[in-house]
Amino acid sequence: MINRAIFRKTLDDSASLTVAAAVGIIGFVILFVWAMLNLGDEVLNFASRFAFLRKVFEAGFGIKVDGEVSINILFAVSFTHAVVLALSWAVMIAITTRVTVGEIEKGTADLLLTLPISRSEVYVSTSLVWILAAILLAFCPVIGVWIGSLIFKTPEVVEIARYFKPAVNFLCLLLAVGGISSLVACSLNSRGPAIAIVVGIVLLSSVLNFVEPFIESLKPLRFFGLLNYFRPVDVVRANTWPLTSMSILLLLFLTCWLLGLLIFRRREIPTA
Amino acid sequence: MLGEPQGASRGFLANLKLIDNCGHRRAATCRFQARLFGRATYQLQSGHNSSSDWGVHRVANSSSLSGPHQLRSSTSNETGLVFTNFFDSAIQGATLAAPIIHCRNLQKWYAQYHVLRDVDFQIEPGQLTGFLGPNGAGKTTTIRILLGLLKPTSGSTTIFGKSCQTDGKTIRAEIGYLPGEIQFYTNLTGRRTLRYLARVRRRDCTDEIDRLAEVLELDLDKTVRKYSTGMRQKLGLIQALMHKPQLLILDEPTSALDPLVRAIVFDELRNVVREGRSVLFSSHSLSEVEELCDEIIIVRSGKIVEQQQISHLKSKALRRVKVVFASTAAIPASLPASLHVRANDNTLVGTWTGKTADLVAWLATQKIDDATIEAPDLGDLFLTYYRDEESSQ
Repeated sequence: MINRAIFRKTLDDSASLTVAAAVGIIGFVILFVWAMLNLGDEVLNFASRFAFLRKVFEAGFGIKVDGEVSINILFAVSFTHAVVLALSWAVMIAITTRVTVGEIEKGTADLLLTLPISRSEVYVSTSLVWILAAILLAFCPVIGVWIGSLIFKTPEVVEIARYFKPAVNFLCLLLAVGGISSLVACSLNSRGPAIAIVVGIVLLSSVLNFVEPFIESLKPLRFFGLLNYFRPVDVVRANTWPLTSMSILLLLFLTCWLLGLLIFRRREIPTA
Repeated sequence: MLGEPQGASRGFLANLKLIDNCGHRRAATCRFQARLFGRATYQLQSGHNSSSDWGVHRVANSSSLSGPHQLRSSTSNETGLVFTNFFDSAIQGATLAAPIIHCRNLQKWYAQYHVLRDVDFQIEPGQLTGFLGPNGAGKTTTIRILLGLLKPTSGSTTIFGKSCQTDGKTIRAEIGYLPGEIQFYTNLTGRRTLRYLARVRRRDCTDEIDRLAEVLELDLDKTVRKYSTGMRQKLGLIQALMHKPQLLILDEPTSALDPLVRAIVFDELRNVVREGRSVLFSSHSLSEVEELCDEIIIVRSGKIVEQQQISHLKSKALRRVKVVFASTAAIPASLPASLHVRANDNTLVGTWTGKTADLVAWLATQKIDDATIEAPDLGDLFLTYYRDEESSQ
């Protein structure tokens, strides 16, 4: 089911982007750790003075700024920071659209898909690469927190083990984004529109989860937001597996991935 | 029954490509257990009354034979060739080989555009077939359906007797394909590109890659980004040929090649056919197809308008004729219907649309000083197909 040559080439093509994003996320989280250690209290004090900011912190990160906030919880915010999400999602979208719609658009699909391999092999071999990338990226915030806590002096012990649960939850989120992106990539003939559609979906979904606490009428729609199923602060605080959220994200991933496979197997390949 | 053939050999499997005198293609796989016919002309006998001449186009896997071999058949079998008692039971049995490509009633619609209309043709193994038609006639669409890149709206296609829609992976293992406008991974070198494609095929093609690169004079260590269009075309040809496929499908393969390289490519393709493999050569250049191919399929507006041996097609093509009579008075009052001429003093200049033999026979009865019959030009015939269409419209 896996063609080694395609897997290897996709891996080679994606490696630099993935490694760059991974280094970027780790570097950013290290900076975030430093910022939280030095500015965390001030930020929380400032935010606690304004009702709007209190709500923003609560809605966006799951932090009650007027309560007790441990350093572990503050560091967990890094998982949902826009920079981390943008970098990791960008890698998912770039890899998932590279082989299917990317090759169709460039015209190299004519070469690849007339070789003695099934389209399922192509799809599975390339999917394996972005799944591996997702695994790497999902654990980058943990690595960043760990390195940051080693470099900078922390007032309390950083329990790295606590971050594995949100990291696995983050992996499920990345798989869901990758699944959606694969589905869209298999359905279109041009990479640009495919990327635009996926970015649109994840952005809308994020914005929905960010604004729904402020707009009552949007509350029933929050289930459509991907970030509704990724609450790292709550996970670190409770230190329990978010099984429901993970299951929903995995179900979304599997559904989209399988639909993408079906479409890719059946679709026509136009000339570039 | 004739006597003992010359140049006999023992025990091997051969493919015979047979063309009857009506231009119909026949293929047979024969197991020669005792003797092999050589270069001489022999008589072949089977148990049917109809008469037909057969020419052997190809005898594969034979190191003892070279050049064309002729078989003269006094009888033929309508449904197949089952040769027995041939040269002291030399051939134990032969059956008709399945066509290598078979398209049946192929239809393709793109929204309201009817791109292919009942495309129906078959290609026998061991043949170089030209797929000829102007741009937009449906050549590339047909090829893409054969390769499983597109799905027919209706109809069916088989290659090697297997369905292109359900057995694509198996079929593609024995196909080499050169797309019309080939694109490569521009960040790779030529060698890495070919190595990658060979690995996807799970084949080691290193020797053949090196040989072809040498023949086509292509530097494989440059990145594809630095390749000219002609160099990319060469790379495309190498990737199509490197695994020695049983069937080569080439979509306008020489469009970016200079005449010297084109000649080399044509030689390679002739070698491919000599080895018993088949080539489907799509082109809009009539001269190329005429120069290279055994058979021609002409497609026009999504329809197959002709499929014939080129030699047979040429026999149908009009010939330019110039006849110089002994005097003006020697020009007969009534000319044959197939002769379309204008007179100039004692000279008739025009075209002949019938059999050449009939023209020669007629000329023999006339008082003439000189006569010139030009070789038939397939281009003239090709144009008549298009004139027919225009006039019907």
